[in-house]
Amino acid sequence: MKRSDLQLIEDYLDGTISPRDLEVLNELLESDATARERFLSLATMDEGLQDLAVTPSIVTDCTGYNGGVYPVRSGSVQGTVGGTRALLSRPIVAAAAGLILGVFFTSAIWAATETGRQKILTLFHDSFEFGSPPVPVGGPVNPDAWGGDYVEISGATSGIEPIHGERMLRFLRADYEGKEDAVGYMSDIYRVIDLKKYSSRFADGNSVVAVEADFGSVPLDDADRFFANLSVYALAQVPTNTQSWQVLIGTPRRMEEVALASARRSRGLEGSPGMSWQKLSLEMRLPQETNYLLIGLHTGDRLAAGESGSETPPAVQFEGQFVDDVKVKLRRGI
Amino acid sequence: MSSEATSSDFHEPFVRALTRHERVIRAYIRGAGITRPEDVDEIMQEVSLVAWRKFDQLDNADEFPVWACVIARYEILMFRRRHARDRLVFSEKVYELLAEQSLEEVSSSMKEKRLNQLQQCVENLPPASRELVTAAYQPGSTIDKLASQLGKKTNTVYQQLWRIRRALEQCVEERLEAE
Repeated sequence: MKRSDLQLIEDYLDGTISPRDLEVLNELLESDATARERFLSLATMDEGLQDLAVTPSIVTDCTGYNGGVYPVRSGSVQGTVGGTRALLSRPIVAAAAGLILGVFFTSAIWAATETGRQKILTLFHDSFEFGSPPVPVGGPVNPDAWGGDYVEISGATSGIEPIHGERMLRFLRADYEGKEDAVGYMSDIYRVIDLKKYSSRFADGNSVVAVEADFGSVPLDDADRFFANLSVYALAQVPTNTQSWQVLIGTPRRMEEVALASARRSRGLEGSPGMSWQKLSLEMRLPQETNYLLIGLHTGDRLAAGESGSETPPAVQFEGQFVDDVKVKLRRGI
Repeated sequence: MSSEATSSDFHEPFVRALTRHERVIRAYIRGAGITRPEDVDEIMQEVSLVAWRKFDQLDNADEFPVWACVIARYEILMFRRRHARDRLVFSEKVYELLAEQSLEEVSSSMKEKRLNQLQQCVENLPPASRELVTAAYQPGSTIDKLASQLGKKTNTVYQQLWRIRRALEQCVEERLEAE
């Protein structure tokens, strides 16, 4: 291979190739199987060198794990630039540690997932396949479970298939167990994510939290009747008992006062035949003082809200509104 | 994964398989033309998650790397679509050719062999070369920064790294032939 062709490959792998040179490289790789072979060989070498540069410490960090085959590295290849590597520098090893510590369910794996290389850290991912069932007590009193209004974990039903896996969350009612006034047209469910162990990641105030979830509805005659809401609040402290949670969540003004930052996004749920899941996503810059995130998933009934005028309607029972695949990621701000 | 009861039966074999084969899957993603480390991370996370969800569908654990790379192929395609406007990436045709050829390398264990031989070759480098190349691949490292830290010209460091990479390529090929 000519040095100029090799240079094109190196430039691509370095991320420094120009659009013009990319065209040339495209033509080369399309027509020349040997060039493709060389490209793959160099790409593998690049990945291998990055792997060697970031992983020397992992084996000794995972002394509790005795069942796996870790890619043991020689300490002699550790680099001299970049300082001490973070513990658990590879995602799968962090995931393994999550399992060892007995915190296993899907989101727990990814809560523990990070690498020295990545700029995006997935804090939480739940598609409702595992974990504690939601608790209808008005708020996320149990930090390991969703809490709020009456909801249930459901399989495929009424023609709606979970977007991932075999389960999803179904909104049932706009009230919770023991609610004094069983009124409302919104069903709300919340989850708390403890960020304290990640505080160094956003200590400079330059990180953004991104939240997304997929909402769906059974087909309805009035396709615009229901809407979905996604919310996130950055909090320094969270209530420690059920009643305090109920007061905080039930008093929007209080919530706004307490939150260090908040974001909310809404969209109509197109409950029509052949509907697909509808994604809601939002981003919020994370204040340095944040210790917890409060994630809220909500659905509302416009009809009930409109009919009731200024009065809050009796607690609505929902007719097939769902949410699935909730992700919360932390990334460096732009 | 179909139920909580089965998840605990699967989690150790899953972590074991992912631990063992992650670098091969990452090499596959890179070989498909995804070069930014943070992009490889993003795709790898999605692949890991999908693989976990579907792990009970895998009959033979030996097929994990190929199976996971097939998942990766789809995730890469999705990634390319999401970033069609903000990344310089290969044409669809070249991507398909590379993805196919790369999968054959995974299937024949060639990628794993390359990675293993590379480790040996790096260890056999002269200490100064070994430290230089490892430093160059640290997260966030750039040749400019490295040159500044070493008190050398950027082009000098670039040429040194070029020579080290050629030496490593040659070493890997020779060791593969000798296997």
